[in-house]
Amino acid sequence: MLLLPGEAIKHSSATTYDKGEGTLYFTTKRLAWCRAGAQVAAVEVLLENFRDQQVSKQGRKVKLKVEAAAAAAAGPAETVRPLSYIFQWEQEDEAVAIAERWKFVSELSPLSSRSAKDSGGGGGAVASPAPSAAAATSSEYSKVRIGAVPASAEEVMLRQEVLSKNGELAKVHKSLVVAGLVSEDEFWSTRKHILETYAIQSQLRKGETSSWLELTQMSQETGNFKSTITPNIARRIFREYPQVKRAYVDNVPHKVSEKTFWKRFIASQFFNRGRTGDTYKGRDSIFDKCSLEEDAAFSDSRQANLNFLARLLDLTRTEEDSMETGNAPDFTMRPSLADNKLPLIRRFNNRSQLVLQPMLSSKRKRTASSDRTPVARALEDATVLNDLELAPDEKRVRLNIHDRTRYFASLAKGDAAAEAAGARAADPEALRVSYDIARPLGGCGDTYKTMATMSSAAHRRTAQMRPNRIQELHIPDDVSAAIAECHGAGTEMLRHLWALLRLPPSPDRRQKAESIVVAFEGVNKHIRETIARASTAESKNARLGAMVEKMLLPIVESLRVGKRAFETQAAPRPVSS
Amino acid sequence: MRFFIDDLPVIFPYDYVYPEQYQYMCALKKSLDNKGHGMLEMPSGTGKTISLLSLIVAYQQFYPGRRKLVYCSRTVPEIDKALSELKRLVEYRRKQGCRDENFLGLGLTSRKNLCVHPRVSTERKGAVVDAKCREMTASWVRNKATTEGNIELCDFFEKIQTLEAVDLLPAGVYTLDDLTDYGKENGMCPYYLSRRVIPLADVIIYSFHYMVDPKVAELVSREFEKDSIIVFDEAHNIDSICIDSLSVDINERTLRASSASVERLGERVEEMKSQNSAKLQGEYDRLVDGLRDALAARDEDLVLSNPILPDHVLREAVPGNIRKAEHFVRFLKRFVEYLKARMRVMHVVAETTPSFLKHVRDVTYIDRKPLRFCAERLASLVRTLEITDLEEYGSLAKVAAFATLCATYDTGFMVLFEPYESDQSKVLNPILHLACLDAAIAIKPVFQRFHTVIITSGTLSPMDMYPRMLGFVPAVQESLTMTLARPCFAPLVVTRGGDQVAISSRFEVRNDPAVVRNYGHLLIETARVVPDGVVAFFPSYLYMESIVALWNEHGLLKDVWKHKLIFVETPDAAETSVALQNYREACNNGRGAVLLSVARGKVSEGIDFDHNYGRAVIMFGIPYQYTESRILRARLEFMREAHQIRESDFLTFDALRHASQCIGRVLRGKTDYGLMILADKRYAREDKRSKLPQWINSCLSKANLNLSTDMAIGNMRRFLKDMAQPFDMSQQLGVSMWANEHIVQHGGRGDITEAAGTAMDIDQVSR
Repeated sequence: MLLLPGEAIKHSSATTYDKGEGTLYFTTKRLAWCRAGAQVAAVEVLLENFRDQQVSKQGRKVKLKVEAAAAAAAGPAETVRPLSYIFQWEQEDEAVAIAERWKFVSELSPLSSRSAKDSGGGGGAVASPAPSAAAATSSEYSKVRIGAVPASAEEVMLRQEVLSKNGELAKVHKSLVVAGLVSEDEFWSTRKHILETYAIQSQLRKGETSSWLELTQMSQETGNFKSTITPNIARRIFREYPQVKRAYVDNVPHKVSEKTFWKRFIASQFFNRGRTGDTYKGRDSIFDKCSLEEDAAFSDSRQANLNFLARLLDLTRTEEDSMETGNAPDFTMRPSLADNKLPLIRRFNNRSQLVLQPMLSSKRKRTASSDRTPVARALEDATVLNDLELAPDEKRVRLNIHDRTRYFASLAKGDAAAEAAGARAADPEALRVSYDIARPLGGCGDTYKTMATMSSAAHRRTAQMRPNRIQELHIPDDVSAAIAECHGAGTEMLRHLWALLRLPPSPDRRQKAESIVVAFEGVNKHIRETIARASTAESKNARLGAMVEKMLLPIVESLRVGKRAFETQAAPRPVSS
Repeated sequence: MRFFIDDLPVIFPYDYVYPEQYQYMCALKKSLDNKGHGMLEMPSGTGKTISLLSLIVAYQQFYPGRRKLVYCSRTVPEIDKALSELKRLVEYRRKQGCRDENFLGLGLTSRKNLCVHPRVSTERKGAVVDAKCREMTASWVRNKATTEGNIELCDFFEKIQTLEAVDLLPAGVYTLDDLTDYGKENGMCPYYLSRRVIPLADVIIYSFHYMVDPKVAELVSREFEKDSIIVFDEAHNIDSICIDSLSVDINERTLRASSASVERLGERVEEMKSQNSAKLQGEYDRLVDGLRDALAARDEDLVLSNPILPDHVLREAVPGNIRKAEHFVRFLKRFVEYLKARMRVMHVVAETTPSFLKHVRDVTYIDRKPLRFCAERLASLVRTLEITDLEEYGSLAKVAAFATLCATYDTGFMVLFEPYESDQSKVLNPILHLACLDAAIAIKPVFQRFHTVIITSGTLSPMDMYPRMLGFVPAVQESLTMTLARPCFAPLVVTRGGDQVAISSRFEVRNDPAVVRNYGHLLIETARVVPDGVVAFFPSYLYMESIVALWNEHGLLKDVWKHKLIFVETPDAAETSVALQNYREACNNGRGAVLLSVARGKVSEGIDFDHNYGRAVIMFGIPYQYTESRILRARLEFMREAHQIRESDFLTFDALRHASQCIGRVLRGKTDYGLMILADKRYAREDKRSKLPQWINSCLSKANLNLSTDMAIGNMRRFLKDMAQPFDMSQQLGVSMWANEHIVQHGGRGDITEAAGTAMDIDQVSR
């Protein structure tokens, strides 16, 4: 096969593809298949385009299905179906074929987990592939330039995803863009922050699951157990038990077949599930050695990380502070000699550390350079009582509500109850205020307080008198939705129009502004329809039509003002075209 | 803020003060004025250390005499913390315009923690660091170096020798890190530096041992004036420390190593005799004059540590039969052989020290008197022989200390020989214990020597116990409660599991499947409900191991793993430190973690679980000591006879001080909050509850005394929800937090900013 510059073959294996014989290569850059005798690859999947792989079931023909993304992303509307290729191994001995295939599977599987872009789908530990530490940094939207015109393919995809996640926004989008009132780019130009936030969020990786790997076992009628070990599970096993990985490399496939290896692994796990010390049941030459090595590793390697210890947590310093003295602790305060449970405990600590590892190592890199200040800060954190100091101004963060309609709905409900209770209480308050007003000199000297009571009472009174509660207006759902749409469309367009008018005029902008003003007519039409619908609608509220008209009046007025502003600006220099 | 206590102006480095801090300072002042001992209990996490330091430093600087403060703490991290608080305080005082001339505060710790020598400091073991250090700093090595060229000396140490103590260290407060930094910058050894400047320091902070352990105290605490102020912080455990400092264990390994050391000593003596017998003769002459003179010059060289000897003994001449070096070596050999013979007995022997000595005399003809001088004589010999590698002689020193202690004290000690570790154990592991039974022996010299000794901690209840055990009369004794604007901690007593089976760590039921399961479920549910960190304590290491294994076997821990990571304390300090560090990381990054640990273990002493590091502490069972232990039995008997303390009273007191110590670690400050879960049905009983510190007891409502797991979980949910609400500082003010006007309201003298010019002259005012 002809190699690309800088390419090297890692694995090769005789396979058939599309009923033709040939060789499958895995190189540093791509997965390629050459027909027998040919020099040019008939099938070629660059590793960065690789998406997913599937293997055939045990007992069937030994096949590998590879899915790859199409080379270039096409238009945003239609998603291109990924290309898929099926390779088959036709060796006589099935075990050999599987071992051959495994070479490719193991190389490809880290790539597949990297491209599995959304691992945040929840689910059990086994179902979702945990992203490996190496893959944690790359993400789809890491390099998107938001706001470019015309939008890049990534941005289009990003927009789609945002819309699919955010129902409220999708509704607005539908009523504005799909209805043709605002163009796609304009719609997004005022919502860059949403895209940016999402792009950043999409780069966040879910950490590793803390639950233990459970080999799900299905019992069959015969009373036997059946376990499935997928490459993902195998990878997790390897990470959790590095010694098993070594044993795998040493033994498979020349000493034992892959199947027996895993079978023995599961048997060993099962027999020793309650194992605490050096006692083994169901002896197994490979795995007993593994767990012994493991125990040794746990008790050895603990010295390594002491340099990163926070000074305040370093218990060894106390131990070294004074001479050893006193009677030894009685045997209940020491680990038992008879059956040693330390390996289990070390395993727990190690396991927890493993889960934290990606975070720990990145943090250490950061702190390694400046070692002095954290010590002082840690000491300060550990000693200063913050609440005894004058509190600095609290930092407030604006509440970001995704779906405002629901917030107001719940608020309205609460209001109704509160009002009912408050109605009775309000009267004496009002009385008291009037009493105070009648004798202004009573609370003489504290003008501020008087003002505060007065204004709050006044607010409450007006709030009670004004019938502005939505429920009491009895607006049918469809009408209120239409009203919201009118408002939404109107404000959206006005926002764009005013943005254009404020900028120094240019033919380009003027043209855009004109098109917006023309689109005003559409909104006005919508408003008229809504009013018409309201006046014909059946409702308890007899004056519904008039009421809706009143509600829409502000937006109509604003549109008119906007239009006039555009016209006055456009008037001195009429458009020549 | 500034305020007055009586006529003493106190500068407190915060804007407000907790009422209990103010009261604490008042009580402390009273004790200082009376020149009497004090016992003060103040809730954990309410800023005990800073109150103490603020008052004492103010006292020091205001009144004439400038009484030195010696502050003893438990662990090195706590020493670190106390030093950094002192540093902050002194800086704050500067800002407030105090002159505090030549104020010097520093900490003291071992060579291992302070060494800056590039080669030696990389060693991991403290004993190795000590040995290597001595190889370069011992006086005979340095003498030799003046004549011979190729001997490596420690430059850091040499520089110190060239300077006067006054010039060594500029005034200020030095944390342990500051001290090493200063040492590195100026090429001075921080360890010897700190020892040299002790006489000049105003505040010295070090661990209990330096004051209580006679072997060390002789070295560092000898020169303090009578009116120094001695403070034992976190002193709830001080009786055990006193006892430990006078107890010795000897096993077969110790004896084997001792035999070897004796052989080597003999060889060295012969060697020296052939080369230079003048030195040995000189030693002999000095020994005739008495040990005190013989050891007068040993200051920097003190080699092997000795238990304290009464003054009159030191002035006596060393008995003739051990004065000659070769005689002494033979004497040691005989004694070690005797101990070896004792080790071959196959049954338990417990006897008093006089009976032990009598047996020694009957068998070996060794008298009591030479035995008493054994340790000092050995130290003298080692020095004469110019031995630096003391690690090899550690075992022999232990045997010598054993001999000296046996021969010095008639009462309060027990010699116990145990051939097996426990009654069930079949493995032969003979150990000869010398167990000190009387805590007062070690601490009596401290109480006698100094006018004011303050014993303080978060948990000293019941307070009449300590004066009896330690043999002192407190002039001031106070237990402060916590003033709270909102109940920021919730003690819950869980007595039953969800299935209504009573839970308890009583020995008979602790491994009962129902109890194990119910404890497991409590942990699972707590891990589910409580955010961030959860700490669980077990009564003993053995129980923790077995229950963790059982939980694992039954798959209970799988559910815990779903919610949080699990970390477990191990017997190894380094390993546990790494686990602790990871635990904190897990709490910080939102993962949440459970730390399984042991009451009386390393973690329960001195590690704080404040804020997100511990939103809940579960105490599984009551942490009683292993009551079958013979040493404990003997001690209980001794206390019953000597102090009239009932056995059950002491056991419960001891268990509950450790339990409250564990659960008290969740709080720091009043905006912090945490759950304290006591999971044992016995906590509901009055006799147990009454022994909890008052501040915990007052928050323990009747409704929370007898909960099942599910009820407890409901309460936890509610508590956490309440605590999550924003907490307005203004609610605290005046209730659980005082500004100056509140001090005035409560009858104190608040700030007098107007009159500040005249009244706030804080530095030494001679009256």
